[in-house]
Amino acid sequence: MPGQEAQQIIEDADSSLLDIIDHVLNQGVVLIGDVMLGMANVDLIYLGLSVVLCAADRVKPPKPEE
Amino acid sequence: MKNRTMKTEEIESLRDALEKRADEMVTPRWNPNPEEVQRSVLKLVLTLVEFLRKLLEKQAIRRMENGTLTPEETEAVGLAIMRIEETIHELASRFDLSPEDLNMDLGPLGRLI
Amino acid sequence: MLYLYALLSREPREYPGIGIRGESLCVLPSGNLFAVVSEMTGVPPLQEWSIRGHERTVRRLAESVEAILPARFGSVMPDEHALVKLVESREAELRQALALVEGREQMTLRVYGEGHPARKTAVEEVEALGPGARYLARKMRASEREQVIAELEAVRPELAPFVRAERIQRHSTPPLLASVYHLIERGQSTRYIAALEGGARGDPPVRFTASGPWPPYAFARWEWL
Repeated sequence: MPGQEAQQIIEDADSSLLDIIDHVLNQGVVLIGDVMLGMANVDLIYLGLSVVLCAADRVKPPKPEE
Repeated sequence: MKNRTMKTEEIESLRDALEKRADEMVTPRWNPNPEEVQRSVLKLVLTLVEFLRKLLEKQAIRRMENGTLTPEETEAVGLAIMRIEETIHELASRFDLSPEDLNMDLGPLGRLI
Repeated sequence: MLYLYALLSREPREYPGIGIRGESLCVLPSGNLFAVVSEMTGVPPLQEWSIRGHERTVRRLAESVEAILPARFGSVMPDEHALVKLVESREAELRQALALVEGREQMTLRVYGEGHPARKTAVEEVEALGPGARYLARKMRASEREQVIAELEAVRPELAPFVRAERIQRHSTPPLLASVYHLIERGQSTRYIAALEGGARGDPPVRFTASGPWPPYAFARWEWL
């Protein structure tokens, strides 16, 4: 099921893959309403993406003065 | 919007904005048109009421978000504020006042509203 | 079936390359625009290799054209006729989007901060209560949309010289507040990052992660214009 596959990919993803996922799954031209993924699954992916982008190790502390 | 009381500077800012608005509405003494006077007064009053309505709205939303309004209270408060807004719109359009006319430039206070 | 990778305003300077499965790409005239497509017997599965493949294909294409609207992953059409019809029906909006992204690329910012405390009451629950409650819910949504993201505003003066267009997606998962997509002139990404770092050093320091440049995915949603 697309939702579960996507969730797994997101959980395993490094930050550059997350950016790629965000761009190619949440954005880009949408000419037809129900593409393969289905709108509901894309929303799930979006939520998953938000949660993972938020994970502690991805939030960099402010850069020290150079 | 954080839950806090208005600071002195913000109250000053509100007073300045109201004074400025009142000044703008002074009609020229050489030709006081009763209808224009009426319209100016109404504009000031409605601006104040709209300001208060927005404050009530923000407060209601905050309580709704915090879950401190019961369903009945939510519905009652929502209806009350909605009716105030309808009355404001009705009066405003009768005197040819647009939403922009009822908006105050509050300077630093602007972000609270 | 046809798999859509991108829409162009002009034909690419070079051969468009290969797609997700190593298949040849084809540039299909569609009305006054061009669609970059490939033949596929089945929809590609949603997996890391296919997602990366789509991104790579689009990125290479973007290097050989001035204006590109990347397609979302997974856009398939039964045949050329269906695709051309769809593109022609949206041509005005698509041209507008292509004009905006001409000579430009995207930077992607994630904004981190305190934000606002999470809502304890779901909007849907509230709306079911009656017209008064729905009125408040409507106002709540409207005020959310208007709320500036303070952290973004803190760096806006530094970034403004570079930003030609902006799209924002707010998140409800603090500390991630929003994803901000900035359209900048091609070649300006290093200076953009330098400006961002300069602005983010203020007091209190703002937290961002920035990536790019990317092809303009966020500006290909013509309905967001």
